[in-house]
Parts: sequence; C-alpha cells; structure tokens
Amino acid sequence: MNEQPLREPAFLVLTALAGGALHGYALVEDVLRLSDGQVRLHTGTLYGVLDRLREAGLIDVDREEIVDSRLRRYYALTDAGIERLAAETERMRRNANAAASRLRRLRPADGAI
Amino acid sequence: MRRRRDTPRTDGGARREPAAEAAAAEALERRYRWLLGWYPHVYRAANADDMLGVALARSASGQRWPEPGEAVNLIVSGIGERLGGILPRPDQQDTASVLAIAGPVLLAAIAGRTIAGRFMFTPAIIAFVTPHRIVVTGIAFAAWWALVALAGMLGWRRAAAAGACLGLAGQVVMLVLAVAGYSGPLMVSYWQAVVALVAAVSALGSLRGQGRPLSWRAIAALTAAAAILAGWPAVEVAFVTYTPITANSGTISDPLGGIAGWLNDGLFAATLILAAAAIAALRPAVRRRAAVLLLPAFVTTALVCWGFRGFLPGGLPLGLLMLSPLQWQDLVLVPVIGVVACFIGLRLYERRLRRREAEKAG
Repeated sequence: MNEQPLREPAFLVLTALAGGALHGYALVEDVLRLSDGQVRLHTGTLYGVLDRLREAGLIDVDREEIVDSRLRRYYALTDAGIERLAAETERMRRNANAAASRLRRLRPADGAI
Repeated sequence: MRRRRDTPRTDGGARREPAAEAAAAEALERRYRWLLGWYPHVYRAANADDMLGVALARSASGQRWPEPGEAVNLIVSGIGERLGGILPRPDQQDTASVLAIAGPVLLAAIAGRTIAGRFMFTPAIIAFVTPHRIVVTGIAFAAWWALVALAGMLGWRRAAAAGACLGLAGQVVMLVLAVAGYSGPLMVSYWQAVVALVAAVSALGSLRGQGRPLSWRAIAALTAAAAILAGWPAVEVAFVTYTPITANSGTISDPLGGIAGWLNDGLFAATLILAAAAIAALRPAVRRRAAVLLLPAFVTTALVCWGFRGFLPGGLPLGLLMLSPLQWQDLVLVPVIGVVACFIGLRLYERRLRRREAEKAG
C-alpha cells in the first residue's frame, strides 16, 4: 500500500464515500460541501483520483445503473479504504493537535483552538 | 451568475426543455464527447458515459460550451491517461517524473547562462553580444523553467505538466525565431526545444505517479549542478585572460587563455559528478532506467557539440542558411539516432526485467 499521505482530493473523496456509495456527480457535490466550497473537482481530476484509489484497492464499484440511456456508476469504500481513511484521519488529527498545542502557547488569550 | 443544476442532467427528460435549451444541451454534449476523445479508446469505452454524465451535470442550464478550466482538465487528463498507458508501472512513471524535473532544471540553467553570459564581455560590446531582448527572454525562460522544476520537485504533477507544455510552446517559438535568424544560436534553440519536448512528454507521462519523485539529496545535487552550469560564464570571467582587440572596441574574453582551460574542465567535471550524485540518490529501479535513458543522451550531446565545433570553428550558426549539409546531418540524424537508441535500450532493459521477474515467480 502507498504510505504517502493522501492528497486533499483523494482524502475528500474517501471521506465522501464514508457516508455511503455515491456516483460521480454526487461525489463532486459532496466534496464541495465537505470542503466548504473550496474544492470543486473537475471531471478529469475526479476520475484520475477514482482510478488511483481503485488501483490501490481503497474503493471499488458498488453498482451500476442505466439512467437516461447512460451508465451511472456508484463507488464505495473497501475495507482497506476504511482502514486507510481512519489512519489518515488519525495522522491529520495528531498534526492538528500538535499545531493547536503550539498555537495555544503562542496565543494563550485565544483559549482552546 | 448562472445557476448550476442540482441534479445530473440524466433525469430522463421528465420535463420538456425549450428548443433552444435542448439545442444547447446537444451542442454541449457533442463538445464534451470531443474532449473525451483525448482519452484512450479502452478508457473511453469503460468510463465515457459516466464521465459525460458528471461533466454535463456540472454545466449550467443553457450552456453551449464547456468551461475553459474543465476543457483543459479533460485534455490534460486524457493525454496523461494515454501516456499513463504507455508507462503502466510505477517505476516507469517515477523515471518519467525524474526526467520531467531534470529537463526543466537543465532548461533553467541554459536560460540562466544567457544572463550570466553578459558578464563575459565588457560594457563596450555587451549590447552587440547579448541584446537586451535576449537577456529579458533568458530571465523569463529561466524563471519559468525553475518554477516548472519546483512544481515537479514538490510532486505537483499537473502544474508541472501544464507548465512544461506552455514552456515547450515558448521554446518552439524561440526555435522558429532562430530559424528565421531573429533569435539566439539555432543549435541552442533546437536543443532547448528538444529538451522541452522530452520534459513535457515525461511530465504528462508521470501524471499518475504518486508522491515526491526526488529525495532532498538528489534535489540538492541537481540544483548545484544546474547552478554551476548557469553561473559558469560568470565564474569564468573572474579568471580568464583578456585580450585587447583595438584601442576603442574594448576587450573580449579569450576562453583558451590563462587558466580557463582547466577551469572549464574542472567545472564540467564538477557538473558531471553532481549529476551522477543526483542519479545515485534515486531508487535503484528508477536509477537504472534513468541511466539507460541518459547515456545515449550524453553521447548524442557530445557528438553534436564536437561536430558543430569542428565544422564551424568561428561560432554557432545563426540561421538555417549558414548550415552545411554535414551540419544538417549532425542536427537531425544524431538526435534521432540518440532518441531511438534511448528507446531501444529502455525496451531491452524492460524485457530483461520482465524475464527476471518471470523466472523469480516461476
């Protein structure tokens, strides 16, 4: 498994899929919501991320539907994907805690961050 | 501001759209299909419908043309997917990432030499030797390629690929100007365009790679080698013997005088040692591939440099008309042979690697 930290789009896609299986456009919208409107994935970027996550075994196709004569594919987290997302979340939490702790020392008046 | 659709445009036509909107939707879909044509056939067969649904759902009601950002993203991703098919193994993609950094570093260094070259001459003849526009172009290209290299080093592959493609376009313009005799030496422009092409193709081929491709040790060695290459003329000027030409025309550097000979050799050796150190700092699988690719490149460069120096001792040609048939061969045939040798060498190496893996698995 790749030990490199996940990039933001990949992390957000995994986070979106943690809420359940989603199709491509629903993923774009959910990632936009999760990132407070900061990350709007382009189509090429989204499918690049999905391909890499599938190759790494972190997600898989859940089901396919035909809507208006067009294929719509739903993606879901695999067990490995759930583990990876948990590990990545823990890594980010540790980093955030460390940063918050240092900031509290710098700006004690601000209280808890 | 145009309102985006809340749901994908795949709702089965539950409501009747006005004729104009239907025509716009049809035009938009046709254009998106054309953009998806940049992807390989196999990929398209598997994903085009799904991707088209997403792209159309992202669009606004009545929109006829894809957004520029979305269009560029699909084209770059499609090319990346095509090249990714050529380089399916992570080691190959990492090798391409290394070339996608080494190329821009080299181009930044060459462009930097143009600026450093000003120090080779005294102010009296500086305007003749390096006109102002050439220095400005040199600064612009040095800065651009340095940024592309930095993006590659940080693992920002899409930014590096887009930058390399734009840089290639700029180098091609410079080559055209050189052919017309309006820009710097033809051979330099030609090689810059060739290196930019290799960098752009490598950057696109490495789009599917992950993480930072170079260690900090390799980056430090590569940057130091580039700095020597770029600053060479400026260092040289401190040691070179100057020979007066006439009383009024100032002086010109004499590259063969004094200690310039061993200084050149020393700087050349230092550059090579640092480049070798950068290659040595790569992962073994990437290092071997980089060595297989770079060896013919070094031989080709040496052949071309020696060939031109021998055929035209008075300096580099400034336009196509000044090239002799032998120089034409040198300019065209040697690089072609070099590139073919690179690919044959790499294919043989990959085949040997696969055979070894099969033997191990068996």
